Amino acid sequence: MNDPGYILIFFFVLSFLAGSMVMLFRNKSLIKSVTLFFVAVHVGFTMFCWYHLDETALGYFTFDRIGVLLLSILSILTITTVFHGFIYVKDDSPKIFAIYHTALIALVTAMSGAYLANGMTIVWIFVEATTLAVAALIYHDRTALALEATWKYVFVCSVGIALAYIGILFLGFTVRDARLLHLSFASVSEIARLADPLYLKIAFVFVLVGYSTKMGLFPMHTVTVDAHTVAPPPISAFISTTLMNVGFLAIFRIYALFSATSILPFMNHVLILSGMLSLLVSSGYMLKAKHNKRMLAYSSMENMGIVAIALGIGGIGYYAAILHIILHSFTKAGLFYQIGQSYKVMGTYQLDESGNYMNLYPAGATVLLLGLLCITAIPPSGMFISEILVLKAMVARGDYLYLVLTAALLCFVMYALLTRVLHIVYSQPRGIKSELHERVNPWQTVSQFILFGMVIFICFVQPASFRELIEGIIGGLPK
Amino acid sequence: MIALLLAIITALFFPGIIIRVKSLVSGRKGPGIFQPWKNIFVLLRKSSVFSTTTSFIFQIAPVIYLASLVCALILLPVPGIPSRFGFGADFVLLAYLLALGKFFFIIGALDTGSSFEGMGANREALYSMLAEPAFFILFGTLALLTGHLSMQSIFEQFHLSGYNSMIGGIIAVYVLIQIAMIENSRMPVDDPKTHLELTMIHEVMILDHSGFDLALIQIGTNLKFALYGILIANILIPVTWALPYRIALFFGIQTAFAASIGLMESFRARKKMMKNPQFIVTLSSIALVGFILSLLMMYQLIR
Amino acid sequence: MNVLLVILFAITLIYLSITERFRTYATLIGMQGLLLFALSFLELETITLGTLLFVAIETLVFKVIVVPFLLLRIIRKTGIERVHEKALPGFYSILFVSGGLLLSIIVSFSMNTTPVNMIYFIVSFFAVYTGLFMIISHKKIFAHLIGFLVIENAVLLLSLAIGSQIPMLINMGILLDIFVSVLILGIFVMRLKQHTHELTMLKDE
Repeated sequence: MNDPGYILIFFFVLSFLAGSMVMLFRNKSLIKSVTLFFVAVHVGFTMFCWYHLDETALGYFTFDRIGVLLLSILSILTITTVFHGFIYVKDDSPKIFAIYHTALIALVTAMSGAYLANGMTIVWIFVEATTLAVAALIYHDRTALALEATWKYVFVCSVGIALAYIGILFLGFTVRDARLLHLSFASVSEIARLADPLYLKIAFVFVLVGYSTKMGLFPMHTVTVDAHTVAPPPISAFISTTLMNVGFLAIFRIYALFSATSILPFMNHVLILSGMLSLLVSSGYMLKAKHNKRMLAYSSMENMGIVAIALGIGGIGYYAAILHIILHSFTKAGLFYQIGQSYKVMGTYQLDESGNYMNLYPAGATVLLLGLLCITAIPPSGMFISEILVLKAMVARGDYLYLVLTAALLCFVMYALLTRVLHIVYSQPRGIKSELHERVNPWQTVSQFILFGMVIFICFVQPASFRELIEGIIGGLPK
Repeated sequence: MIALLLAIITALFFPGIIIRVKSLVSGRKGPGIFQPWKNIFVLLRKSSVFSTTTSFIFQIAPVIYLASLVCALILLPVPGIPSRFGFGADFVLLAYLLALGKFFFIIGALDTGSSFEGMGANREALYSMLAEPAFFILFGTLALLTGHLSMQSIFEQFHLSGYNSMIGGIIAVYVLIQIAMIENSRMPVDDPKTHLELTMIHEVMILDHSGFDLALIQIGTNLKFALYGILIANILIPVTWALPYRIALFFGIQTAFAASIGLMESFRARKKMMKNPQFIVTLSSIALVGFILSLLMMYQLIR
Repeated sequence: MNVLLVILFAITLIYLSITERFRTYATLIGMQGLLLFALSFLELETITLGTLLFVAIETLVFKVIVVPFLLLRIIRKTGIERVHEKALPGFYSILFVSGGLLLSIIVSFSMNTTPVNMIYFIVSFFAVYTGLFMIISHKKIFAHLIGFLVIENAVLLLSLAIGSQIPMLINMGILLDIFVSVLILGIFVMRLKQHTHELTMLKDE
C-alpha cells in the first residue's frame, strides 16, 4: 500500500468523488464538510509525497523536489483559500455554492497533477484542465463584466495552449521515437543534446509563449489581469500564486531540459527579454491602475518578470528565482485575502472610493501595511533577499544595463504600490467619505499574519534544510 | 524573329476574336474578325493633332511603346525554336523592356497636363508595380523548377510530368493569365468599354492621342496580347512533339485564350476600384505559394 | 498528392485573409477540415488501422461537419454578415500575410529536415501566423474564433507530419479539437450573443 502509484490513483479517485458529491448535494454544510475532507486528503497526500521524494509513479508522474515543493505551497494555500472561500461565498445560493466548490476541488486536483507530471504532454493536459476549472470560478459573479473576463480568459488560454502544443510537437520532432510516448523528462534530456539547435529554439519559444498565459509573462499576460478584476478574492489568490507556479514549472522544466545543450544563451536572452518586458508593461500599467485587485494583478506580473529575469541571469539567480516564487506565493495570497476583506469593509474595489482603512478595520490595515512591506521587497521582507540576489547575480555577470533597467522599473512599481496602499490605509478618498459597510471579524486576519510571518522569517533565518532543498532543485542547471 | 512573325499573325486575329466572342455571347452577330485592324489602317492614314501643352515626349511616347514591344518580341523564344538573342536570365530584360514602354506611355499621358490622364497614369503605374513581383516570382519558380536561367532552356526543360510540375504548371498558367489581364488593362481590373472617365485606367491615358499615334498604340496593345499568348503557349506546349503539331497547338491555344478573354469579359463585372490593389497583391501571394514547390525541388537536390 | 493538398491549404489561408463575408470564413474552415481529412489518410499509413480510423473520423466529424455547422448557426443567430469594421484594410492584411508566408519559408528553409516535412513546416508556420494575425487585426469575436480555429488546423497539420512515428501526439491534438469545438463554440458564444461586437468593458482608464 506504500506504492506511490496506488496512493496517486487513490488521491485522484477521492478528488473525483469529492467533486461529484459536492456537485450532487446542495446542502451547504455537507458541501463544507466534504471540501474540508478533501483539504485533509490533500495535505496527507503532500506529506506522503515528501516521504517518496525523487521517485516516479506509474511512469506518468514524478515526485521530484520542485514538484513536491510547489505542491506543499499549494496545500498550505488550499487551507487558507478554502477557509476564506467559506466566508466569501456564504451568502450564495446553494447551486452557485456547489459549483464554486466543485470547481475549486477540480482546480486543486488539476494543479496537483500538473506539479507532479512527468512529461511535457502530461503537464499540457493538466494545464488545459486548470483552464476549464478556473473559468468556472471566474464566472462566479455572473455579471456581464464577469462573462467578458471569462471569455477572454478561456480564449487566450486556449490560444496559448495550442501554441504550447506546437512547441511540444517540435520536441517530438527532435525525439522521433515512438517509445517515448509521453516525452518524459529524463528520456528527453539525453536526446536533446544531439538534436538540431533550431528545433530546440523553436520548441522553447513556442512553449514559453504558450505558457506565458498561465505565468503572466509578456506576451500573453493580459488575461490574468482581466481575470483578477472579476474573480472572487480567494480565487484571485489562487490564480496569482499557485496557477502562476504551474506556468513557471512548465517553463522551468523545459529550461532545465535544454540547459545542457547549445541553446542555453538563446534561452537566457529570451527569458530576460520576456522578463524585462513584463516588468516594463506592469510598471507602466500599475501607475494607471485604479482598481485595487488590478493593481495587485500587475504586481504579480512584475514579480513573475523578476523570476524570469532571475532564471535568465543564472548563477545565484537560479536560487533567487525559486526563493522568489515561494515567497511571492505566500505574500500575494495574503494580500488578496485582505483585499477581499477590504471589499466587505469598504464596499468597493475602486481606488477613488477607498480610504481611511486604518480607522475602519485596524487589523486589516495592519495586514495591508505588512503585506505592502513584503511585496515591495523592503526589509524585513523575505523578498528583499531574493531580489537582492537577483541584482547580485547581474553584477556578477557584468550585466549593468539589466541592473539599471531592473532597478529603475522596480522603483516605479514601488512608488505605485506605496502611494496606493498608503492612500487606502490612511487618507480619506477624494470627494466622498469612506464608511464602514460591514463589520468583519478581526480574527479572519490570522491566516494572513501567519503567511507574512513566514515570509519575514525567511528574511532572517534560512534553515539549512530549506536551503538544501532549493539547491537540490537547481543542482542540474549549469553554474 | 519567329516570335515576331508569330506575334504579328496572332495579333491580326486576337482582338477580332475577342470582340466577336463578346458579340455572339450577347446575342448579336458582331463585326468581322479583321474589323479592329481595318480601323487601325484608317487611323494610320490620318494625321495627328497635338495639344500645345505637350512636348516632344508626347510625340515619341507611342513610338517607343511600340518599339519596346517589338524588341521584347524579338527576345522571346517560341516552343522548340530559340530566339537568336536569348541569354541567361533574359526574362528580366523582357520585363524591363515592357516596363520601358509602359514608362514612356505613362509620362506621355502626364505630359498632356490633363488631370484625368494623370489619374489614369497613377493607377496604371500602381497596378504594374504590384503585378511585377508576381511576374518575377513566377519566373523564379520556373527557373528553380527546371534549373536553368534563360527562357529558352526553362521552357525546354519544363515537362508537365509528375505531380509537382503539374501543380507548378497550373499555378504558373493561372498567374500568367491574370498578369496578362492586368497588363493589358482588361477585366476584372479595367473595363475597356467604359466611357466614364473616373473609372478608366488605360483608356484615359490615350484620350489625347489621335491619328497615327493612336494607330501605333493600338498595334502595340494587340502585340502585347500576342506576347503574353506566346508566353502561355511556351509553358503549355511540350517541345518533344513534332513541328506541325506544335504549330497547330500554338494557334489553338491563342484562339482559346482570346475566346476565354471574351467570355470572361462578358460575364464578369469590373472589381471595385479600391479592391484592385488587393486583388493584384493576392496574385503575388499565390505565386509565392507556387514558389514553395520549386523550393521543394531545389531542396531535394541539395539535401 | 500530399503536396497538392498542402498547397491548397495554403491557398485557403490566403483567401481567408482577404475575404469579407463571415459565411466564407465558415466554408473555408470546412474546406480546410476536408483537406486535413484527406491528408490524414495519405500521411498516416504506417500506424495501426484503429488509430487511423479514429483520427480520420474525428477530423471528418468535427472539422468538416460540426464546426462549420456551429459557425453557421452562430452567424444566423447573431445576424452578422459582413466584416464591417476591419481594423486593417484588405490591402495591408494581404501584404502582412504574404510577409508571413515569406518569413515561414525562410525559417523552414534554415531547418535541417526532409523535403516533405519542409512543406508541412512552411504551411503550418504560415497558418499559425495567419491565425494570430486574424486575432490581432480584427475586432469582432467571430473573427477571433476563426483565427483560433486556423491555429488549431495548423497544429493538426504539424502533428500529421510527426504522426506516423508518435501517434499519441495526434490523439492529443484531437483532444484539443474536441475541447474547443464543444466548449468554446457551443457554450460560450451562445451566451455571448449579445456581445458579439466588441469586448471593451474591462480596461484601465
